[in-house]
Amino acid sequence: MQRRGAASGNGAPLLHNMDIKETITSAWSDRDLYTGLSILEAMCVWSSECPGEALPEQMHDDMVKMFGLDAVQGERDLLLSTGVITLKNGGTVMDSKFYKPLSSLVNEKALCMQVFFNGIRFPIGEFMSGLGEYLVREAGATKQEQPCNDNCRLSLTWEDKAYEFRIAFSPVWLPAIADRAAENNMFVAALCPFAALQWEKTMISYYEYPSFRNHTACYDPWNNCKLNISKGGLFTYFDWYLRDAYGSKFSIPGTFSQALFDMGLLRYNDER
Amino acid sequence: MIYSPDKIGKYKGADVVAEYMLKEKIPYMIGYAGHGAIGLLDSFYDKQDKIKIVWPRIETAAGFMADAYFRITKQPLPVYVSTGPGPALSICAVANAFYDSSAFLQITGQATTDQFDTGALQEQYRYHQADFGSSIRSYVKQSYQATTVKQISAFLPKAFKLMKTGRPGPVHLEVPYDIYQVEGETAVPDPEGWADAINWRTGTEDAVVAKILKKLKEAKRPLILAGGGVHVSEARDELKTFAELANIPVYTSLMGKGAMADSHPLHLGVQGCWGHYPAIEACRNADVILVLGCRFSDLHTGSWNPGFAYNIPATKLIQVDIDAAEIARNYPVDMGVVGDIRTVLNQLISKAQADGYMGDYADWHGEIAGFRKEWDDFVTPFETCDETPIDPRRLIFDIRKVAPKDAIMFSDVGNNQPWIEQYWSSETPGTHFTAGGFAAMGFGVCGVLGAKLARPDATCINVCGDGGFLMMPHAVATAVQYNLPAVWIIMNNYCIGAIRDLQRFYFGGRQIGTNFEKYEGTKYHDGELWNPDFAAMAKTMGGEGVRIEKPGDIAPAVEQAIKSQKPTVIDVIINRDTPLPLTTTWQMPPIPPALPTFGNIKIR
Repeated sequence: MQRRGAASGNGAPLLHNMDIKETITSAWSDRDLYTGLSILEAMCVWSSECPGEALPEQMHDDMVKMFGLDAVQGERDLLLSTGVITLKNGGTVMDSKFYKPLSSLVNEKALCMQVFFNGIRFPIGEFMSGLGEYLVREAGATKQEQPCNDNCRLSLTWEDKAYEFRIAFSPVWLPAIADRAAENNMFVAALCPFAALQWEKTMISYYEYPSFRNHTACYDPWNNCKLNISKGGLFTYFDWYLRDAYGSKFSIPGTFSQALFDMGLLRYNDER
Repeated sequence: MIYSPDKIGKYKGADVVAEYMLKEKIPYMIGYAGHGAIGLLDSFYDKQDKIKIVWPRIETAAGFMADAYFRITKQPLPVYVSTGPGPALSICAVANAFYDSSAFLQITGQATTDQFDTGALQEQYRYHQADFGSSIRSYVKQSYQATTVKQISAFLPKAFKLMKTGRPGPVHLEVPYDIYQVEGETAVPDPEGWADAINWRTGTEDAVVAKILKKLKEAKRPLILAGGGVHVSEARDELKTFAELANIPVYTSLMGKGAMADSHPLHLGVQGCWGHYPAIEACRNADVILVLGCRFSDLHTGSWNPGFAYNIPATKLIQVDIDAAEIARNYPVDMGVVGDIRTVLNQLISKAQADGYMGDYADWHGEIAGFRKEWDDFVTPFETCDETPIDPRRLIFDIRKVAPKDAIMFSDVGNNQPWIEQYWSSETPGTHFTAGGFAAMGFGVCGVLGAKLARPDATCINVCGDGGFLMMPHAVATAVQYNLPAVWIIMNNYCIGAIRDLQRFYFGGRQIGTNFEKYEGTKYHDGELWNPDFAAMAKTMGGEGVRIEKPGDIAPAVEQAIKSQKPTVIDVIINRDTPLPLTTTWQMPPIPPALPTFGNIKIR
């Protein structure tokens, strides 16, 4: 059930930010929840990275490639209708007052995603807290407090560099944070099911950019694979955590290696 | 003080050298004569029953032979050369020894002291008088120029002290040829008062030993890396004892190969670009590595690209080296220990025995067994590969089958080196030799003669390429002259294969200047492949020679060569297109690193 407030200036209904989670959730009841959360997640990240700026066209295109035009349009229309986003210069901008409740909604849902290791199904949040304990214990990393109890993020410092692991629905937002990560010599890893999200059509092109390839990584605990050529040394311990805690090893998709080869970032020692 | 009054007398400079070599109990002086060396040689004329003069057909070969001799015996030999081209040609051998912590005394001649800065024949004079020292300085522990007889007496014991203590390395002594001939009042020093009196095998503090053991004990996936320093320190027995005591798997660098028998259950193989997968995968997963005398070169570490060979950090290093400069040169260390490998290992053994320390690491050994199986499944079929042209692996497996267990193996430089690295099973520790640092082609071809001088009773084999062999084919003549029945096995692929492979894999297959072919046109790579008949060459030099084209003929030919006790060249036509399995990587920036061709992709 949607509770609507007064009309906004652009014709969209005004909502109190406390109601927005319920409104959005309710609207998703007859839609694909996963797609909705993924798109909302990306918009929240963009809003946090570049408040007041319109969502870049490229990010929108990536979302279309990952989720399909109809799904993205549907979510866009929904968020426009609720006043969460407004149109600006042909793009969309999230109203800053909704950032907090909506990112909280995204996080709550993300933490509920289930992973499956060694025949046991459990929430990804549990995987992440185990990772945090492991990195502190084995690598000597220092855990940083999250300002808003964001349990989807694990922030650490290790060897004077900042690291962040984020549970996410998709990696579509990762390029948006790459430049800032590079400027701050920070390393960000997304834990998301990228293997099921047409990543070949979207993520690969970003490896042309040093900030992206050197400072971000993607892990997919649902499909046991990873995309990582970053310079973040702590990420080695992620592999070791998998090995030690779950006896698991993530592979690197052949498509990824081939793409790096095509870009001239790696070679094969044969005559292909 | 080297001058005790009762020993002072009148000596010619060359006599001081010869008398001192007697006192050092030097069995051979190797070199090549020229007008700048005959004054020196003359003083050895009456001492040939004690010091044999061996002269191969070029100065570089003399240096390679002395280098090989040192690697086996730890006894540095003098290498005499003349002035100008002789010293210049020997630089390559000096550098080869220096990079691999081997040693010999390079004695060069020089224009006479009264002709300094005249530009007399072969004098280096245009920037500084008599200045060969500037050319050799990067490759020696010390470069001396003796301009008086007394200085020869002063420099010789210091030279031997430097070569034999701490991290070995070659030393240069230059003597103008008038100084060989003039008499001076001096004494021939006694080595006992110099190198022989120095206790350089320093250990470390007890607290450090205890800390190393604690870290190894607490580790879940420990490894021991035996680098070339284990051979240099002659610590092979101690390595085995400690590894077995601690139950920790051992792997080596290329230079450390043969520090432990390849068949030892704790031995994982070699780490490196063309190393063994069990060692490499173990390194990627190790939490602590006890590093013994290894400098972490680019070929060893996958050019330091994380994830290919190592993950440092996270892996923690306890690096022991006698040369502090090598500690933490390329990777940060958790603990650095300056000390002699053998002494530190003995300290670790004593403490471990006193504490009753025995590592468990059962899970770790279980993981490693999986890595071994993957590699063995890949390698085993090549033992019986019947393809022609011959697969290089089949060649090496067949040599191993018929060579004695303690056969001394010298690989050369080029693709033959990593083929031997990956497939030669070194069963008697301390019997594998190669040039890993300066990596001079021809070292193995000549070095095998140095090995024969050092160990006349041993079977000494050099596996080389057609490129390396033809740089130093006269080694066969030298072998015939001095009755040194070495065996040369040429992996003949009508090219300098290692560099051709770089063109195949790094430069899009554009092969130029790497194939041995007849020039028939204006285009590159369009001629018929051509090499001389190596077997016939060997025969004309008085040795034996045979050409092998079928796999089944390898073992009988090698067996016959060993049995014949004649210098023999076995020319084996191998498959020139078989790529070496790349187990980590090697990068030539800005060209990106190659992915390993064996094992799962390892970009972290």
